[in-house]
Amino acid sequence: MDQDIIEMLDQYFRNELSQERRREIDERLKNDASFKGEAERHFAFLQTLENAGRRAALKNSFDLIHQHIPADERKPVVVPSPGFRRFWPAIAVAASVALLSVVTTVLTMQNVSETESKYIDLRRNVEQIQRSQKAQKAILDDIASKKADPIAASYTGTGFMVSGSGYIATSYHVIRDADSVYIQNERFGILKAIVVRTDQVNDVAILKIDDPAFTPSGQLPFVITSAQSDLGAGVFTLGFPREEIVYGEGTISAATGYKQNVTAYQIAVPVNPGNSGGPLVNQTGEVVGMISGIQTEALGAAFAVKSNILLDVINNIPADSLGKSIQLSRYNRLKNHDRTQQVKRLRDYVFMVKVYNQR
Amino acid sequence: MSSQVHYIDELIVSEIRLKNDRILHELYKLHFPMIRRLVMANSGSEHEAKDIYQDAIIAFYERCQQPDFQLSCKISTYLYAVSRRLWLKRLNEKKWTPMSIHEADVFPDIDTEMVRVDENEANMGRMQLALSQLGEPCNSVLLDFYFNKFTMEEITGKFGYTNTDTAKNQKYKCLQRLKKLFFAK
Repeated sequence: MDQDIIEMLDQYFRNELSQERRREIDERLKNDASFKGEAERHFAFLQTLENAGRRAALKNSFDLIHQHIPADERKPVVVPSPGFRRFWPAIAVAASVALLSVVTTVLTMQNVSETESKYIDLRRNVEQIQRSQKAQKAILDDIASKKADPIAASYTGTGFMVSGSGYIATSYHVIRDADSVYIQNERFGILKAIVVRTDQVNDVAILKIDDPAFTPSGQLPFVITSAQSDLGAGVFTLGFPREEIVYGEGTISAATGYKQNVTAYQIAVPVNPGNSGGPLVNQTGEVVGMISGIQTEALGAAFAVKSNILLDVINNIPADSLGKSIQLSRYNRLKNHDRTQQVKRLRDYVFMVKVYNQR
Repeated sequence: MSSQVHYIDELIVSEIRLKNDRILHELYKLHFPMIRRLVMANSGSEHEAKDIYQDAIIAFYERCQQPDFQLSCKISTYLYAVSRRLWLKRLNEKKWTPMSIHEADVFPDIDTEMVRVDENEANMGRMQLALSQLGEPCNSVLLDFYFNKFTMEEITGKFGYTNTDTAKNQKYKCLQRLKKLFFAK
C-alpha cells in the first residue's frame, strides 16, 4: 500500500474523515475484496500497536500503585487449606463490599478530591458574583444611585438582631477582614454597625448599630433558646445569599457539627454563600442556632452554631464595652403563629451584613 | 448475596469502561494478595506473582473495553482462574512439575478465554519486541500518533519537523519499518 492510502486509512481509523469521505471508503471496502483485506490487516496492526501502548502505560501505573500494597509476611501459605476453602466465599463477599465502598466514595468524591478546604464559610464574595452580573448592575446602579451605597461591599453575610437596643449577631468569618460594616434590610434601611465582640473559635461576632438613623425597637418578638434541639426537629432560616432575603427549611440532622464539634449542629437546610450568620429557627419560633458553613465532601451537610453558645458569647460581653447592657427578649411572641406569619415577623430583624475592606 | 456481589462487579466493569483509573487501581490492590498467595504457595516469587497478576488484570481490562463483553462470573474468579492458568504455563516452561494448584474458582469458558489471552500475549510480545528494535524517534512518533492520539501538528512541534508533511512522511516510513520488524520470521 502506498503512503496516500495509508494516510487515508489512518484518518479512517482515527475517525477524522468527513462523513462523505468515510462513506466513500465504506463503499470501496464493500466492493473491493483485496482492498478490504489489506485495510483490515492494517487496522488490526494499528489496534495491536495501540494496545501495546496502552499495556505499557497500564503496567507503569500498576508498578506505581504496587508499592502501596503491603509486603507479604513471607510465610509460605499452604493453599488451599480446608479452612480457607470453607471461608473463601465469605472472604470474597467481604472484599467486594470493601471495594463497593471505594466505588461509592470515588463516585461521590471525584469532584472535590482536589479541594483543599473541606469546610466552606458561607460569606459571599461579592466581587465574584458581580463580574457575572455586570450588565445587570449597570441598570441597577442607575436606580440604586439615589440610595447611599457608593461602593460595593467586599463580602456579604447575614445577621439578625438579638436585642432591640441594636445588637446584631453574625458569623465571625463574615466580618473577619472588615474595615467597616453596614447592615441593611427592608425595614431599617442601611445602618452603620461596629464590631463589639468576636469569638473566633465558635465563629460568632456581635455587632452594635452605630448610626443616628437607628431608633431602638423595644422588645424583640422572638427569643434565643438555651435548650438543645432534638434530632429531626424542623427548622428554617432566613438569609441573604443574594440581594433578596431567601427562606430555606429543613431539619436538625446531627447534634454535632463538622468533625464532631459539639458547639454546632449539622443541619439539612439548603444554604449558600451569603447565608452565614442567619438565624436557625425552630417550629415555635425560637432561635436555636446560627448558620456557619457547609462541608464540601458531603452534599447537603451544613452547620450551625448552637444557640446556647451564642448566648454565652452575648452574656460574656463585659459591661464596660457596652453603652447599654444587652436586654434579651424573654417572651416568645411567635409561638402560636404559623410559619408564614413567623417569617413575616422575623424578616424585619434579619439583615444583610455588608463588609467593606481596602484589600 | 451472590447477586449483590455480581451487581458490584458490574458496577466496577462499567466504571473501568469509563476509564475510571482509580477504580482499576483499587481493584488491582484488592486482589493482588490472593494471587500472591497462589503463586508463592506454588514455588513462585512475589515478583513473579506481580508479573502474572499484571497480565491477568490487563487481560481483564482489555476484555472490559470490548463492546460485546458480558461479565459471566465474579471479577475475582476471572482474575484467579486466568492467573492460575498463566502460572501453570510459566511452570511448564520452566520444566517444573507443577504442584497441584487448587482449582477453587473457575468459570465455564475459561478455555476459550485462555486461547484469547495467550494469543494477545504472543501478539503483544511480538509488538513490544518490534518496537524496541525500531528505536527512537520512530517508537515515540508512532505511539504518540496511534496511541496517545496526538495530531500531526502536535507531533510536528514535539519532534521539531519543519512541517506536517515531513512529519507525515516520517510517520509513514516508521510504520513501514515497524511492520517489517513485526512480520519478520
